[in-house]
Amino acid sequence: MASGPTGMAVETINLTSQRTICLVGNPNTGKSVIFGRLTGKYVIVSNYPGTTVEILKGTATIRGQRVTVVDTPGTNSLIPMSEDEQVTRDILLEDPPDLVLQVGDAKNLKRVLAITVQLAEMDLPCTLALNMMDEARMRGIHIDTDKLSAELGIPVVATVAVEGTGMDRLVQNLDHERRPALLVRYPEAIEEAVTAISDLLPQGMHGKRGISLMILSGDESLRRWLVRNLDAVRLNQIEGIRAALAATTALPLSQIISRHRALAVQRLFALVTQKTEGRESALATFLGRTMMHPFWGVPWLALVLYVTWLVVGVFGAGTVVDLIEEGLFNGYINPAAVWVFSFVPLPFLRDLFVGDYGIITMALTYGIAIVLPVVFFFFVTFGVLEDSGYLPRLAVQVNQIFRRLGLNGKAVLPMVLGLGCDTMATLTTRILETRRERTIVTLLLALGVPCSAQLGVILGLLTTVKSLFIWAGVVGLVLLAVGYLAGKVMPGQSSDFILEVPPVRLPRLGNILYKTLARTEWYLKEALPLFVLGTLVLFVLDRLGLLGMIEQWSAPVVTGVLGLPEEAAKVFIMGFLRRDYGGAGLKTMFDAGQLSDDQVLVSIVTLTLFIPCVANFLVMAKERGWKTAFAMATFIVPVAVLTGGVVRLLLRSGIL
Amino acid sequence: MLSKLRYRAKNEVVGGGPSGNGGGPVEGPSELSREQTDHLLEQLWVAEEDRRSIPADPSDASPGHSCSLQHADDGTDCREGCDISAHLPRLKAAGLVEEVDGTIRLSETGAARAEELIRRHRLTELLLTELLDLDSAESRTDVCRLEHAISPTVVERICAFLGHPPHCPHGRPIPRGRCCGRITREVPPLVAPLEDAAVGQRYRVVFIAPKSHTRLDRLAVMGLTPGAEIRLHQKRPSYVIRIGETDVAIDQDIAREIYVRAV
Repeated sequence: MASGPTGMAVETINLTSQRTICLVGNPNTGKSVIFGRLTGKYVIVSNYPGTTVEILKGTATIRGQRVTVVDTPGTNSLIPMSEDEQVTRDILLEDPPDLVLQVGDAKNLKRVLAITVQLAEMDLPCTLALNMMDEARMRGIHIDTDKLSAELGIPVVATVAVEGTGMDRLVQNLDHERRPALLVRYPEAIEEAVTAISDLLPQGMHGKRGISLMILSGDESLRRWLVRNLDAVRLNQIEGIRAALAATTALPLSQIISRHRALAVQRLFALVTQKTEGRESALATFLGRTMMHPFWGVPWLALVLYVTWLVVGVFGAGTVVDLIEEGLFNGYINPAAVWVFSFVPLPFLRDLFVGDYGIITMALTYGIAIVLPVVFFFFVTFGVLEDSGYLPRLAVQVNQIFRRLGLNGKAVLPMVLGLGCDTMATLTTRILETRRERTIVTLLLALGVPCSAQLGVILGLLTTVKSLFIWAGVVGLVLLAVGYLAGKVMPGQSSDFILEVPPVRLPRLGNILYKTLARTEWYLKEALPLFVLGTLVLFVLDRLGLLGMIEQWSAPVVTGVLGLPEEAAKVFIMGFLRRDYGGAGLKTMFDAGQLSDDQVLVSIVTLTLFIPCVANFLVMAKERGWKTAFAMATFIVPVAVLTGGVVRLLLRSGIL
Repeated sequence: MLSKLRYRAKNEVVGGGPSGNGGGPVEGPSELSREQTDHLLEQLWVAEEDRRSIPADPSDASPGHSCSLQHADDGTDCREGCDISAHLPRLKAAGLVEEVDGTIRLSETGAARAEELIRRHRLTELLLTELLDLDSAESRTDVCRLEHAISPTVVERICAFLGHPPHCPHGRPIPRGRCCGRITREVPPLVAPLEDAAVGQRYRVVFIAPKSHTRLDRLAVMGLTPGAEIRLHQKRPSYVIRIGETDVAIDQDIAREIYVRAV
């Protein structure tokens, strides 16, 4: 390792402002693991490119100094192609860190260096961690890190972050003085244009060379930033330089630039790597291949669904819910609470906590006894699917179908996550590249992807195979139809399906446990309060007699169109406060013998398609804007009710 | 097929090479051979491709102007120097060029001839680099001689053999020929879209002809650029290829735009 103290290492410590280290790298290279190792903070790590959609900050102590560590979404280039990639570039642009810790997948060194080249042009101090060195070695790729370090002029450290290998060396070698040597010399005309544009950029701006090259590459995402930082005259001058240069070349400038970068990377790559006969785990290769095989992929999917059903539906929603609901809540907690509150002289308070719409008897019973176990076991299953590398392979499988919905296979991650929690899934739509795709997925999630809590109750209510098939068929058809129409109606192009498929890996138990806990904590923090809020709203509505009025208003629809008892209106209101909550309400009605089997089916179909829960609606508004969120809601309600009505007619006429 | 092609090409070079300029029809005065005329027309074509204008008045011509962007070896010119204006009267007399606002432009006849020449030049260049593994510097002289000699039939066959390529090795466009529209597979092509490739085989990317530049950039960051060695894992339900140590899944319509040859 040709690094270590460079004479400059001992410098004055600025105690007032904490230094920042920013983690940058290709997707799925272990940035989040290294972030966790440095900060001791847990973040969700998975084997799916693009899991980090938000910036995470933590604090680490590096050689006795406290520093802020920032984790960024993975990116393959500093010229962003999706929202999450833009997040990364914008941090480097607007808030340049004191040090970039570039994390790269050692077995894909060329793609790593492609980013290093751009970091060098941004004139940022860098240290390079070549992670997953074990996988590289196994595949017969030997990298001379000393030589690479000497060539680049920055420290280069080999790591296996999941095992903690190389982490000490990495921390010892973090060096915020050394910037990567410029690797690329462009044709004279481009160099001249870079100098000319750099002169027009504001004084003291960081990384002018990099910014100039981004401008020349025609980076559209940079426009807004430029408008904010430059006056109109300079903006026009810059555009003039770019246009004049572009007019003299047959090829687009971006291609000339990337070609020169690729050549430089290739030269360096050849200099520092040696390839010997490697081997890959035969089992992992076999599993990876069959999972996305056009034929064998189908039994795999069936197996995955079956195991998920066993874990989430049978064990989580069945065994565990029975244990907690029947055993713990109905057996001890609720009777105890009722007993305690029987000493409270105020009937109002008594009803507030242990009445029909009581915080303990309703909110906590549903939220903790019925929903929590289902959500928990879904997150466990999802974690295994994520870490094993199955999800990208599922994306390969369903790409053709999603194409018809104006989406592509990449949308599979938010859609599957939606089966756990639609709110969380709506946030994850950021990994999609176009606004059109994000909008379509948001709509489909809100419309017809039941979350795990809801699924748990639904699976419990649909007791016959026939009703299960009718429900799945109807919801599936509506999703396909709406998706198809949305794909036709929504303006814009769907993006290309170009997805990296990571190797199949054995999920690590610790990682899955942590991930599940982190997600469950999120659920308890975000969702449980809404349960309580929802119950309070119901309680108040009930007290004011409004609940009865709403039931009356919606009676013509609920009884007329859907053929359900009036009280079912309450279920739909509850359903908005929390979707799964509505399902649980239906279960109570069914258990009380208020609903026939057909009525259960009609109400479940309607409820599945009905407006998402409050939390989901708020996130929709946050991500897509209020206008879009309201438009979606006004679309979804009639679709849900009409579909329910059609199902009822079909059932009555004996067609289904 | 190949030997026939070589044989024929060689023959024509000998017959109609620089020394024997009496063979073909000669435009203008006798000191401008057919080949020289061809080269001048090609230079004009490339200049128009680059949206560069050549002034009619030789004193305005700055040597090497605007040429700095391209690599020294961009394979576009067969002759050094930009002395078109010196031959302007002859070219004009032959109706190949015209003067518009003080700049030289190709006339309709001139453009048609230049297009055919450029097509032959770039196809030949691709053939030599791809098939015979010559780099473009090595093949340059031969290309410049062959382009005048090969017949339209041979050009069509080469075009089909290379899978009707849209770009020369330098990324410049190859003018489309009549054969490019037709879907024929008479000659088993050397270079074919990935769509037609066989699963499990290793290929080298020869060129990518994407609908949009964004797509090209997206592929490039995954390491999928001309020259990259890839292996096709599967075609259905989506294409999965391995580049280096990265497995990448792509749509069929992208696979259609990636032209490869077996290695």
